[in-house]
Amino acid sequence: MADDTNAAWGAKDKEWMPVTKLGRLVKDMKIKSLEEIYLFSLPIKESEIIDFCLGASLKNEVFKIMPVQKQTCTSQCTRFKAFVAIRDYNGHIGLGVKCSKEVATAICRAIILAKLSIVPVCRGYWGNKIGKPHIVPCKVTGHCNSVLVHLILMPRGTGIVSAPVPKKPLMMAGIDDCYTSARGCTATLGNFAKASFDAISKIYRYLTPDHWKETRTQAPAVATT
Amino acid sequence: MAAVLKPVLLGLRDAPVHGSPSGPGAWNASKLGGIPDALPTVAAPRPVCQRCGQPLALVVQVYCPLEGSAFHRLLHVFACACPGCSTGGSRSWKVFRSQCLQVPEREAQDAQTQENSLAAEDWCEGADDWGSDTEEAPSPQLTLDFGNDASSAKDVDWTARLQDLRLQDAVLGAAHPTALSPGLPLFLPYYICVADEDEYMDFVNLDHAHSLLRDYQQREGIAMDQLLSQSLSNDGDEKYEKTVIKSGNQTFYKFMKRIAGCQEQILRYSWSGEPLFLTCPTSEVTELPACSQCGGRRIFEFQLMPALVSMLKSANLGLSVEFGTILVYTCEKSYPMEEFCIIQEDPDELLFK
Repeated sequence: MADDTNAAWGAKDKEWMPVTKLGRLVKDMKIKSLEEIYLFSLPIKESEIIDFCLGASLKNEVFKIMPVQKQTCTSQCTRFKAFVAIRDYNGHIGLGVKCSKEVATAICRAIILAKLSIVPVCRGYWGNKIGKPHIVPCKVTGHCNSVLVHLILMPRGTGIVSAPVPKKPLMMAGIDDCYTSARGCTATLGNFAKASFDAISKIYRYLTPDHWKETRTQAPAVATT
Repeated sequence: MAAVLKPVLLGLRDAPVHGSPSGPGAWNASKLGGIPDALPTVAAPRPVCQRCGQPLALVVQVYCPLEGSAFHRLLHVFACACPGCSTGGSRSWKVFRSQCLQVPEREAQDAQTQENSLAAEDWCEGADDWGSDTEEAPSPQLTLDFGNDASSAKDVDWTARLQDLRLQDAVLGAAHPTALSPGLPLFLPYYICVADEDEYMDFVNLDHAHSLLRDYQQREGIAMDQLLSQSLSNDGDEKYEKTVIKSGNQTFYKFMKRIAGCQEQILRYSWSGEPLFLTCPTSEVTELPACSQCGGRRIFEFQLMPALVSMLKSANLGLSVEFGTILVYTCEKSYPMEEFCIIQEDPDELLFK
């Protein structure tokens, strides 16, 4: 298999000592799920928070490793850029990009960055609400530098119709049917992958009619102190 | 990163303090929580909070004689543990330094036999070789270790005294905190042991990364050397990019990277070294107030790390201290007095107000 479970890695680590207040609250189980953190848009600064909440269900996958070069006065300095995507099968996805002199270090750091950038994914229906949600609930557009990626909803059974690069994050997010349209310099893999990831993360920012109903929740500051 | 980094010592939590040790075994020790121990000639500091007037709780006591100096040097860090003041900023924190001249041990052991006094002299002479060029005290555990020949005479003395305490422990232990003052807030005391940062620097677990790399190579069907040769054919579509952290800032990310090797560190000691900032340092750091007694420059001595926050527990719940990191600056010329500390708040603090 191309991916490897996060749990095996986490088990070897020592006990986590939180550095931020959010970390301490998560460790003391005062905040029980990631959704509570997302609800109040609290920035997650420690990757161990994600490990703690999602833990064993996280899976990493190396998207691509490419060497990049920088011209120095004597020669060229080659570094490796690693793209790592991380997902759990329950609607969370993250993408991390890191450059480093050694491949393993780049992968390691990219995993941490991927965890810090985990976002929830909302799925919906095209037509009748039968079966599980399978598509993006609305048309979304993501962009990164010059690359623009549109995601368009399609009926069940279409499959993901796209270039190989955005296909991966879409599959990982659990989106089964989608048309994509891309524009810009899609040859730059980094920008293309980030643009599709950006499109996926914009889904929850869209206020759909089912979110119109007013809900009252306690802010975590009140609930935990 | 051009400058040579000064060696950094890390403080880690050790065994809990039992009973109420007194004498040189007590003020020779670095510990967190508990009651402040005083040097023989100096009174123990008992400060009050500037904001609420409540007595301050001892957070950390650091025994740190300077290299080449004949003084015992003890630093106490106090903080206000009231709920209202726990995020009060620098007005709820106080740092005191006290010092006294080292008395050669042979005079203190007049009552011992000739053999013991010789051993005592050896202990004095061996003091400079204890550890590397550090200013941090050796762990208190060493003084109780019978295997340590250099201080065996000292061991007999201190363990004898501790044995005396044990007999009355049941009474003293309960009565001791109240005997001093009824309302003094206390954290549970633990000793602090010292380690070199270099021992933890290379601890990065790359096994998982290697297994992912193998899977990637299998999937794509290319080997490592092919990856490198790809770079020659690549006309530079992909460029090196600097990581942009979505949440949090670059300084925090660097802080996390640096402590990743040893997450349980509670203290970083580096006399006249560079502090590890948690958030971007404000102008406070560049405009340090000069020493009020001698007008000398203040230099960085040590900092308290966020892991300490979860370790400061109290017998009666309700006492808590919150901070990001505390940087302690002391006078270069080392006169006994109140020192200066900068508090960097936890980056999440504003979210939970």
